[in-house]
Amino acid sequence: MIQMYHVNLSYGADSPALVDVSLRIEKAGFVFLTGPSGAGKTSLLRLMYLAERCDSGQVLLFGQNVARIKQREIFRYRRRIGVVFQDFKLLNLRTVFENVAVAVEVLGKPRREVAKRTRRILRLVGLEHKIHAGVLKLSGGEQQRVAIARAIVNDPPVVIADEPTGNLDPKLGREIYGLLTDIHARGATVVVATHDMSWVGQTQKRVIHLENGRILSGGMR
Amino acid sequence: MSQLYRFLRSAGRHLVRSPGVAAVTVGTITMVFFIIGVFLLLAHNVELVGARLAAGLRLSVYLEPGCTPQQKQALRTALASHPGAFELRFVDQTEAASRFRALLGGQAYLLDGLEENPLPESFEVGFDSQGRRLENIQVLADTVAGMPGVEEVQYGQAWLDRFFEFSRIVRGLGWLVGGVVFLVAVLIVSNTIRLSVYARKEEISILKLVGATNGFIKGPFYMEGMALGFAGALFGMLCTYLIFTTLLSRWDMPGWLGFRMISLDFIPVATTLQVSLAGGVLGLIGSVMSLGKYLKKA
Repeated sequence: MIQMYHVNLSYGADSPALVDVSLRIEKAGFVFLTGPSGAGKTSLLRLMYLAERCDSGQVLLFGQNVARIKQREIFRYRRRIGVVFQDFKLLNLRTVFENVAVAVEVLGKPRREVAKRTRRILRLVGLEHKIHAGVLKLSGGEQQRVAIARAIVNDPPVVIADEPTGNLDPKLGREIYGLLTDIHARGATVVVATHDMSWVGQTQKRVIHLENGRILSGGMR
Repeated sequence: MSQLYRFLRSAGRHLVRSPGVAAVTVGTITMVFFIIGVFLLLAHNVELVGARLAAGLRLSVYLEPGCTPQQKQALRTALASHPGAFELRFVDQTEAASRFRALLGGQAYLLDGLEENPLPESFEVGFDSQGRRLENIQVLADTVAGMPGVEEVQYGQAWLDRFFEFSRIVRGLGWLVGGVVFLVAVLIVSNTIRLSVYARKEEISILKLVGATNGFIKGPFYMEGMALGFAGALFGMLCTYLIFTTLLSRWDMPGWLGFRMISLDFIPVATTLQVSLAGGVLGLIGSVMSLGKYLKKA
């Protein structure tokens, strides 16, 4: 599903973000990306959802060489990847419904279909009762659930989460991990970047460990 | 349809959320279109006056004393074949003399001493609205002036030339000023949309993240630009109308007495609507300009 071979990425000559990274993440897998801050986890995820292009090496997404994907075609791939961020990246002046619905609207679905899908997914993440609330009125955990709902509302085959519990207390963090596990159980490939080792240790999932832009373990399996 | 609804809703939401920027933009475009409206009004009325003057236009072809019946027939055929000539009259010497007498009124006795009638025979041509174009009449006048038996051709060319020259200058100036202020307005809209884009930078990046096409992202901005342009143009034309009617109500006062023979009209409703739509197009151009640059960078 996601493959990388000898990938290098740098932000300027003196700051390499990823060095000779190779990895393979199988379909319907669940992978943790771990490592200290600045290890390259976010850069690696950015390559996966096409926010970044590598300087050298190869990135394959859904069997397609990313280097061959034209800029104007990127949206097609993004629709197959749900992304969740530490800072939620929500439309702050919109309601819960609008934040999730936007991901369906971009597909050009009719309003009835948009409403149906949005309600269904909000029920799944336990936010149906807050559907018309402004997102800024929600707690951190609820905001993250809105972000997750938006990421999975179109049932993407890949869900990427970048430090999804970084801004939450441990109890809310467990809730979020529970949701990500459910998404995985429904058949999606899930990649989670985290430095919350307590949860990683409990789950027995595959771990790819990075430091200084290099994969130290778990890259190829 | 649902896409269009979304674009409109999104554009409307943003306009409501930042009313200050929208008001300044609409206000500036209003001023721009007020200037355009004044020029249109001027050009429209100059044209109207021109048309009214041209309605009374007659071409008189004075004949030489020895003009033969064949020459007269050739002239009649040439004049009648002019596409816009709808009235062709032959004025013989007797009729010319009686007209002249009528013109002299009380002094008509002055003609009594003349032994023979010195007035020439002539053809008079009236034109319909199609044939009244000065260029066509000039061509006809030049053609018949060169024909045998013709002494002189008259149609008041000197003052008509001057009037149409004035009309051309007004129109040219209108285009020039209109073009410049139009460009200024495009830049204003372009900057407003750019501000709007920066204000929604975060939203745009989220839309891109969830797989929105460029069209989906640009749509609301296009709508916003069009709405600002259309509203500004409409208000500009409304201002022109209000000022025009206010001035017109004073037109009837004694101070304006000398000008009362010229009645003025406002620009036709259809033109007003077209200009307002042009405002919408202007807004669209402004949006395209700023979005093109931004989304290429994003």
